Amino acid sequence: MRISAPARAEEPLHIVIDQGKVEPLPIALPGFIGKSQAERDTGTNIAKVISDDLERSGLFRALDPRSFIERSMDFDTLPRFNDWRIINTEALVTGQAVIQDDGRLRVEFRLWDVVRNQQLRGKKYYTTPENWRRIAHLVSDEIYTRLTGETGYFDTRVVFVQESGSKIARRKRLAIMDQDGANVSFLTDGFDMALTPRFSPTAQEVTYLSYFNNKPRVYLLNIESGQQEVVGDFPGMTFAPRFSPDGGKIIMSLDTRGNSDIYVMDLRNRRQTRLTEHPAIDTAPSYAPDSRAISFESDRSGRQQLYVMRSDGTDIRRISWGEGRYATPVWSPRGDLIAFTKMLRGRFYIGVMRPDGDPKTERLLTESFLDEGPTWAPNGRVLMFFRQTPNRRDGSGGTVRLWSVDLTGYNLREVPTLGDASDPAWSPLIK
Amino acid sequence: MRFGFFLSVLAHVAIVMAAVVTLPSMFDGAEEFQMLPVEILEIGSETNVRAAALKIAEAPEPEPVKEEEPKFAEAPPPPPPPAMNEPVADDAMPALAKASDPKPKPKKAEKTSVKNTMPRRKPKPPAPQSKDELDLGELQALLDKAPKDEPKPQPQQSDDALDSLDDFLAEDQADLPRRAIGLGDGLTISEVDALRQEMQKCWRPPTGAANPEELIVELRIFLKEDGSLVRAPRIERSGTSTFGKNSFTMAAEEAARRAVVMCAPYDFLPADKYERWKEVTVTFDPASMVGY
Repeated sequence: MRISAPARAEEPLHIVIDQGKVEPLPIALPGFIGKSQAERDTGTNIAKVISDDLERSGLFRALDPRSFIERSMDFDTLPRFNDWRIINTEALVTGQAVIQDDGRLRVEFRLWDVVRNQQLRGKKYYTTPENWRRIAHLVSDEIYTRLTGETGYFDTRVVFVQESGSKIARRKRLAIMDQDGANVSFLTDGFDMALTPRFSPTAQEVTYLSYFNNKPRVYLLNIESGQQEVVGDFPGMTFAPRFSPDGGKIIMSLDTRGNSDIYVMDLRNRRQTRLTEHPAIDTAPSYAPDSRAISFESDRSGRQQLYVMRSDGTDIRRISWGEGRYATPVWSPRGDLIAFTKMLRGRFYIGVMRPDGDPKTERLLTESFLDEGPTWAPNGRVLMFFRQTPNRRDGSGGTVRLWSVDLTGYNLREVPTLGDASDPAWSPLIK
Repeated sequence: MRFGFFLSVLAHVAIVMAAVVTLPSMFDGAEEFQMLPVEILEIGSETNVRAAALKIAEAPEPEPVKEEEPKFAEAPPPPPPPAMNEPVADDAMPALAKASDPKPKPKKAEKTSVKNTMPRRKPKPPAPQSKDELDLGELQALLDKAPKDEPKPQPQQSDDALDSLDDFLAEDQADLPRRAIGLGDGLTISEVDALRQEMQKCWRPPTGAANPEELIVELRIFLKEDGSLVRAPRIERSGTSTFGKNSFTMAAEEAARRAVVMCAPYDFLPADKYERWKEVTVTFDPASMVGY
């Protein structure tokens, strides 16, 4: 127990601060300096991408460069901290971009705590000049980690389903982009419908569902090489594939004679193991990050609910006890929460709860006509999902877009995509 | 039909009777009500005022480069081009400008300006006690049985009136102005609350952390009489994580220290009670902020 005032005169006054301000941290990001015009342009672009990354996280507020007092900065001298404190910033990022004689780009940055007059971080990177965006994301990750303690998630990519065409002839193809919506490229041609892509947590590989001869099959796709293969040769239809945390297994549901159960397949020896055996529909399995447990959805109680079991299929426990139906449980990479889709009285919600099923820990983060398919950023702090906003009364038409939200429920934002997009899958940090 | 009619009549009579019985007593009650004057004090308007200038320059800060970054006389040769055009990170950074740099160091400038612009405020001497006020000497005499078991104050602390019990018990000093002792000299709840409010205005707690109970930070701060910091806050306790210090605990420590430095000076604290707030321990506990 802590006290607010001293019991004895000799003891120092003791106060407890348990409330703070939930406001973004003000940060100043002057353009990275350079000698040539090309260097200055690159420096300005890098600072802009960093600024956008940090702002999008909801935890930072990039100050307007027009408010800066100190403008001509030398990268190798101390900033004039007073000038930065006056404009109420708490952190400052300085940097420079240099195109070397060998044609490569060198980018250096320093992160300053202008309240305590300290340098917090300093690094430099080398790459080809056209790869400057990646450096900007790496610098964003460094700043984010140093100031929040969380691992960054800016140097990541998102695989999603790009949708186009009419409702009858809908084309769904896999696409990949940086987490900020830049650098979009397509992974499948769109002749066969692609659904539910899931990233490997350890490699640049994606598993997804595609129809072949009108039969859904789980595929494995290497992003770098473009190579893909069918996962296993099952007698029935396979759904909802997802990697194990070590990337060595794929867990999915297999439908035989109208009954769906959870199976796991070892990718090394292609051996498959059945984990659930129940006449109800068991699907959407997701491993805990320590591989010891698996969450899934099942209608064994009469309606869709979330369950957790040991990874060998034993000790099945129901964890969702609120009103409505629950689906698509996804275990956080941090292990502390399970994200899900909830359906209640015709509305859809994205929420999180603790894996022990304590109903008090359930927290709904979003609500709309249709929110679905949550995926975690690799640091377990941000969720991305897709939202359909219909423009007809019957719920059809309109748009399907990707959105992100902080696990605290703040900072709901649309992720920019070219046209309709659904089923996002967040990559691990790029190595 | 007839039964319903009688039932209706009975119900109406009952309502009228109830009104006759209860309404007068309600009015009586209202007449007996006495207004109690309550003085509403807005402590926030007085104590939450931000200082005109920050005084953190007086806190001895280590040279940034020395603490965090290795110094390099010159940039190291670039490594060979990586495969796949991957950027290469390198912690090595060139050193900042040396002390011989012709440019004036900001720290020095800050020191000068602070001394010129922020005169040190002396604490007001406590006013002599009137006879109607509580006689602390008498009170102490009544209470002096309990402290007898305590170790006697050290002679070298005799300049501090709070620690010298004998001085207070001496008759010839009973009527002299003195600094308070015991509970009477403590900060009031409002004053402590004002300090708490000021600090929490500057604190950005680590929200959304998985284990917020591991991010509790306790700082010890030393204040001058004008409410500014004597030196940078000292970390007493932090990072109860079983895995030791990590990026989360480090960020939590810095957020707490930044809050204390940013909100200084705490010039609203009562100067006559300086002895009670010259040293303060502050616990920053983000546990209740996790849901934000």
